[in-house]
Amino acid sequence: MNKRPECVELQSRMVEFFSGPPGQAVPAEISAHLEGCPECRIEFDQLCQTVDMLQQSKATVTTVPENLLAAVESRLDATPQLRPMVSNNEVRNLLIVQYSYLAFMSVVIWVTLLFAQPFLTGWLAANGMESAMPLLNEYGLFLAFFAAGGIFALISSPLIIRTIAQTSTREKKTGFLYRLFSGSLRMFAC
Amino acid sequence: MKRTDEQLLIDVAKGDKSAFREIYQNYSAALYRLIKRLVGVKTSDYDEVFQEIMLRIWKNAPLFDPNKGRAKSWIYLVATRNCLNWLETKRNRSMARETELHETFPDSEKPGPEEAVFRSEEAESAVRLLDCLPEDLKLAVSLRHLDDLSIEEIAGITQVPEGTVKSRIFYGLKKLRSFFFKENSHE
Repeated sequence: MNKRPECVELQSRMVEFFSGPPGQAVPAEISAHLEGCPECRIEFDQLCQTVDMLQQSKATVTTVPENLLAAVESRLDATPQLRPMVSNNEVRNLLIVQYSYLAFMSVVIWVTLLFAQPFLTGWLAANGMESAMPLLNEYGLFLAFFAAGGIFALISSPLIIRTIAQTSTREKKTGFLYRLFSGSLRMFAC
Repeated sequence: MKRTDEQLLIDVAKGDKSAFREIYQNYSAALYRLIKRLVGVKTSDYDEVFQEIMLRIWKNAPLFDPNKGRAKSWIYLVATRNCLNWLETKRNRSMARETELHETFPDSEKPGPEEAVFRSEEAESAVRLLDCLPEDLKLAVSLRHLDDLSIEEIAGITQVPEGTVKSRIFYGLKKLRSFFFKENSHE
């Protein structure tokens, strides 16, 4: 049976109406059509009853077996929690900050050593402690500091980034020690 | 002071088990009902699916972002996806077994007579009839009219446009109506 155009239009109004919260007032356009169309009235009433029945079924008490809470809780420790993924941009920004800081500190230390090295060389010569290798006498401080600094910078940078961005559950247990360790490495590297 | 569901999920993300217990108390009944509706009326797998969902909530809690939506819709999203995955896996397994045996399964998903007696109330029969709907319609109708999620939230969970959600709800209700009033007319 072909429906009248108004009845077809009512269907689209009913799509909106029945998607809304239950118990809302029937819009005037729908009421007006229903008054003059017994077929649509029956359909509308039956749909309302269907929604009512669904609403009533919410009152039905669902009992969750009591043992399930204990069962779930016993498995929590064995279920590691996920960490939010760190975006590539975030990691890149952290790397830029970290390495810029290290580069800046390297320059500061290099300038400081430039002044300190002549005093040390002079002191070693005055006390008869000169090495047989002239390179060590002239650049010993530079070599020692840059070797140690370089190694620790390499170790600490990934650690620092991981500490900031991706703390796993295992790391969380020793969170303070872990952060202290990576912080100390950074200080030492600088 | 009582914590909101959003705060509870944030605390769960920090490994707070008491917050998880509160989430469990608040949502276990609703989720158990949802599982029963989605997974089917006759299966002994509810408990397994339910446990998987609760553990998934625990595991994924750090991914919850309160700026992106309510805790309730996030929890339903986790539960619904888990149920649908479970159904998909079960369907694949059944198909594989069917191919092996070259025969169809008996209609084991339909409620048995004892269950029909148990669910004799009108409201219960509406829920029973809900099981006869196609999966997408059943999900839309139940999330809207049984779990009171908004259209926007359902669209987020089902990954379809809001207009589609509205249509699914309406056609789901129409089908339910036809089942229900046909069923009643035979009585």
